[in-house]
Amino acid sequence: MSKKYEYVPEQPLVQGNHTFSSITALIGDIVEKPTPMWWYIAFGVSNLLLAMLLGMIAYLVWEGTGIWGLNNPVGWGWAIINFVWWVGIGHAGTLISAILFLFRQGWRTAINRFAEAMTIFAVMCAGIFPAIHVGRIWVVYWMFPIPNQMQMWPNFNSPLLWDVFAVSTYFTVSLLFWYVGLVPDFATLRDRVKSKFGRFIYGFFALGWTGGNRQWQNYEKSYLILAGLATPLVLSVHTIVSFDFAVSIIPGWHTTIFPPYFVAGAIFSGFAMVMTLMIIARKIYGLEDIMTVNHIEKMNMIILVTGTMVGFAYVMEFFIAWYGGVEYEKFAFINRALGPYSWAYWMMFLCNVFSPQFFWSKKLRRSVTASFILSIVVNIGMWFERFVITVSSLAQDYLPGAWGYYSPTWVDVLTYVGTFGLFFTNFLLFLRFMPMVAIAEIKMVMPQADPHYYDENGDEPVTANEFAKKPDLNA
Amino acid sequence: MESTRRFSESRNVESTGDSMNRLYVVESNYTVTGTMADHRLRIKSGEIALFGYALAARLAESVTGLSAFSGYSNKFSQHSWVAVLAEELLNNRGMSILTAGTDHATELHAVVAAINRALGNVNETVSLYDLPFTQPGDNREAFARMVREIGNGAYDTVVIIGTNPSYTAPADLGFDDAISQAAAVIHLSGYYDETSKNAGWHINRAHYLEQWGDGYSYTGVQSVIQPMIQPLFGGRSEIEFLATIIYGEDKTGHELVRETWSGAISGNFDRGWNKVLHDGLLENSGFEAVTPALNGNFDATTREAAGNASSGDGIELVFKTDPKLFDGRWANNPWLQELPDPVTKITWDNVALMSPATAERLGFRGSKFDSKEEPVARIEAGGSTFEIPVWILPGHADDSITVYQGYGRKSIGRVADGIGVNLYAFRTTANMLSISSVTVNNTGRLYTIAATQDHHSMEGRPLIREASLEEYRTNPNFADDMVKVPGIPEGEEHAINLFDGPQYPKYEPQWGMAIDLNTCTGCGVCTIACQAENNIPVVGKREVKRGREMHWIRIDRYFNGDTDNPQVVQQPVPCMHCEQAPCEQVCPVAATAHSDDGLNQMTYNRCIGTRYCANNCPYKVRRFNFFNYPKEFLTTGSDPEIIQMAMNPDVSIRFRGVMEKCTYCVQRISRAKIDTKRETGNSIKPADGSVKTACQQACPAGAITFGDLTDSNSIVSRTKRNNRNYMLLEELNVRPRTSYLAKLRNPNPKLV
Repeated sequence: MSKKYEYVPEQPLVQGNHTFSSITALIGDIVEKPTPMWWYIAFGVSNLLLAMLLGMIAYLVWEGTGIWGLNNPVGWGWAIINFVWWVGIGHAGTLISAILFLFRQGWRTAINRFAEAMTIFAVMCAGIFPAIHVGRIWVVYWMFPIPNQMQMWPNFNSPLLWDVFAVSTYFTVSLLFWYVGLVPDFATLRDRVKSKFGRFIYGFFALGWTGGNRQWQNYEKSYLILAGLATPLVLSVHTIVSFDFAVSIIPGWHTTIFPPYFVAGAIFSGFAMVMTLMIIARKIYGLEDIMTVNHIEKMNMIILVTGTMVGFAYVMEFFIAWYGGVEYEKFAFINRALGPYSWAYWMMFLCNVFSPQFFWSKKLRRSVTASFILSIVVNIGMWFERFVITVSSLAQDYLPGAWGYYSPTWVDVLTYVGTFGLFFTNFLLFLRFMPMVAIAEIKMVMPQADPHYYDENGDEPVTANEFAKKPDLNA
Repeated sequence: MESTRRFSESRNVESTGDSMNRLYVVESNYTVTGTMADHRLRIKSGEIALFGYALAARLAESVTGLSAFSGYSNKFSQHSWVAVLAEELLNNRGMSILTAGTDHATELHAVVAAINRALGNVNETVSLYDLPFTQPGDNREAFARMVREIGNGAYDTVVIIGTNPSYTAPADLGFDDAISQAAAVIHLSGYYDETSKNAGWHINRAHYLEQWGDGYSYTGVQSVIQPMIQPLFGGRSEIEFLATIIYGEDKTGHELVRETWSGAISGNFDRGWNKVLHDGLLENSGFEAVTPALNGNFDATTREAAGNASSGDGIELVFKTDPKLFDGRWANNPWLQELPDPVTKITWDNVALMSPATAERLGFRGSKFDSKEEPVARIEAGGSTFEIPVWILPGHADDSITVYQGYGRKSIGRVADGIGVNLYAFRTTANMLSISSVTVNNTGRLYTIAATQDHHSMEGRPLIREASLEEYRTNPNFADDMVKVPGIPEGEEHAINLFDGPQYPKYEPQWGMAIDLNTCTGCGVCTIACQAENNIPVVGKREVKRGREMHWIRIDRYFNGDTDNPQVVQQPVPCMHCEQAPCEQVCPVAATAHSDDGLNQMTYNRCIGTRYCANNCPYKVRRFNFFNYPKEFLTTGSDPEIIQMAMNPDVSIRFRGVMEKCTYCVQRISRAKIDTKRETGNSIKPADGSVKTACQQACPAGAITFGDLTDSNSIVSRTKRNNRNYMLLEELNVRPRTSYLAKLRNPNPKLV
């Protein structure tokens, strides 16, 4: 019995037989052409939500954390859940741009700019919560090691302090990384825009970029270094966020599996969020040639892998709770599945573990509709995961006499909804005024940039036109 | 209080050789006394007299003096308890006490006294006194007659001192209508209450801490009441008021009391007076103890009462005074309104208590863990109706409903108004204490009840460790043995630790506490004492409902065993002052840290309110100021200055956004350390017993001991050497400074 082994050539990353200039035009035009009406509507709605967020924060500062649903056993509620959720979402961008860069995954260029922007805005949304959830917001700066006349230092043993450093470092590096990548594209826009103001602004941020050989060399080096710096941060941020829970002694929190489990969950939710936004953006802006179905499929594979890792962690937690033989921990996990918060637990399980399993099917993996729906389902599931961890562990811990049930108030809900206002306000501004795909980088992975035209054996058609006609490669 | 102290003294077990009393309780409602019982029998309140008579009949077979009951029998005569109790009482003649609740019939009290007499308890365990100033006769009948006469216009002027009959008088008397017939009504009262509104004259009555007075203890020891403060609002005491209206004299309370006492003190009056003031009581005073003989009518009367006694078939309704508000006189005291009921843990409301079986039969289902909505019942008897939320109380007698009086006040104060249901409106002269048959319907409505505890089972966890006296004698270390703590090296007290523990300087005392669960009744006095001492805010029903009560020492109450007939255990939980405190490690700004004398301290000024410490506290004793709780009662209302005066000046008021918790009364500790340093010149270790925490000071059972652990002879060190001593959640290796002495029960093997 003989089998024929065939080499499967990689799909071209940019389709539609673009030239370098048509790519520049495709992306540059989004910024240069007049603002579409839908943008104003979306921006208006986002602004209203943002105003609501600010209103909720003002009310909180005025009145106190009592306006939230927190109580005696449950000292952390939606605020911390939202924090962890948004930080988790903020993982995808840097993972895509840094780790996939180091692993030479060319397909990342279609989505890295976009995902990085999402990361930065998600971390901004996340960062709000640790700042506002404290009882006395006006002294929240005591968390920072600022020299003072009382020689009062923060407590370096506290995971919350590690959080402050981890999240602020991550935000700073992500922002720098994003900006460095934007420099050549700002120069492109500077050279294309008509308005004087636009030229000035883009020129200012382009830092005098001319595209010279030396500049490219320095650029590539700094980009690589930043990618190297950002890579451990991708893993460290959610590890440290998980320490907020894992370092405590509360059953259900005190778990050594948390760091890898949180990182996997973060990547899972980050990719899902990128997917949601990308599917909308590629449709509206006609970027299907750049963000192709192949990209969607690759991302779905990551969602499937990380979702299954998360599922493994859920099962492992149960196993260890039983194997560890600590009755309080055993109770905590059985109670998650069967107790008063079991509705949240099964919601989480359904969304995070079962729903990605659809992606075993190639057809669904490549279906835009299925990807869109499941990406939203995944993020709902990940929100519930944080809810289950935070609330169910606190509500019922060691002494049953102190147990209490937590439910949010309308302020909790509206504050969360308001963060979408902040996120989309930022994101819409980004879509409108910045190149949403890395123009310079995407050109490097176009078939036209490949001197071999994907031709490993030298027997393939040599012109782009001929190449585009090959049906099996464009399937 | 004295009874609690004396009861707990004989349950203070220090070694296996010690004995312990045995308490049998027969009751319908689950009371604090019932929770302490070694054996508890739940029967309808209306059947308790029958039980008493059946017991008397059984005892009559063996002792003299109960011949009225020879040959008597009723439904309880064959009850296993009657035989067992009779045997116990006969085996412990002169060493037992039998007592009946105050709300039972005179005949039952007479029979109980006769039993005590027959068993030779009188002058051994029971003392009887001849009370002066009491009139024989039926006070209820006298009151009803008086109201009738007032209503007929027989009196021009009615003077009411202290009481509040417009609120508490039986509804059928029509007190308000009657009093409107009098030309002048003068009411001396501490509050402008329901009666004051119907009175032409309301006179401000001085609080007992503002007045001179005198009185007798219940054994007749004479004492002088000294004021703590001048009357804040120019109030008049009862004696001043009476002196004015009867003798036309305008004398001060001080003068009046001295005049009265001039007869009681022999020799130099000033010297004797000063001695009484100093001692607080008059030496060698007291009522005369008597050994009364049975009245000639005893046999006939009790035989008749026993013959007529029967238990109704329907659902009985029993009125009780509230364990916190009494008859309602303390309804405007927010500390008491917010104090959780010792058994139900309900705050800010009264409810209809019934057993799970009765509730099921009547179609009531209690709320689940995630809700505080309770069903509302409509209760009907004799043509009047009221609606009240239902609370299902395991251990309550079946076919019986208990309700607490003292709620449903109208415009008497900002605290009491609109809280709960007024049941006086439902009570008549014929049914003062209970109604033998009522109709109960489910209204289908739900009502939110704010209880401070939502889960009532220990889930099999070794939190309150309990054994019978026998088991304790077999294994004195049973409490320690219930949990195997891994990693304790040979000869060490604690498990190994990753970190170096805190280092304590030799010159510092090390504070520790022990709570004896064997004597703690769970009454809640410690909670109130702590609240008063430490300026703990009252947060109101809405906040308690959300689980935000601020009490620094809470009492966890768990039901054990069968839901129909469970045992109750109680455990006060203050801050444990862990040596390896999990709260300290997680605070990002080091607002909670350890002191050199071993206290887990909370620095309010440094706290930014992340609540991480509270989350990481395994005992969940930390309390967060979600709002600016003290602001409302310190700045609003008619007299905020008075409320401000109620604050302890040694303790800071906490602003919103900061965490707080039990401090071991650090202000008292600091004061004692300073005093000791001043007296000795170098030591800052106060003498044993000179620092008492507020909870310890107030505990009537003496269940709380506190002191310096570096002194191996201190009471607390000795208490902690008791082999019943154990640490709650010791396996977490947080090393709590507060430990517990395991609970013992002393069951009768024949009833187990």
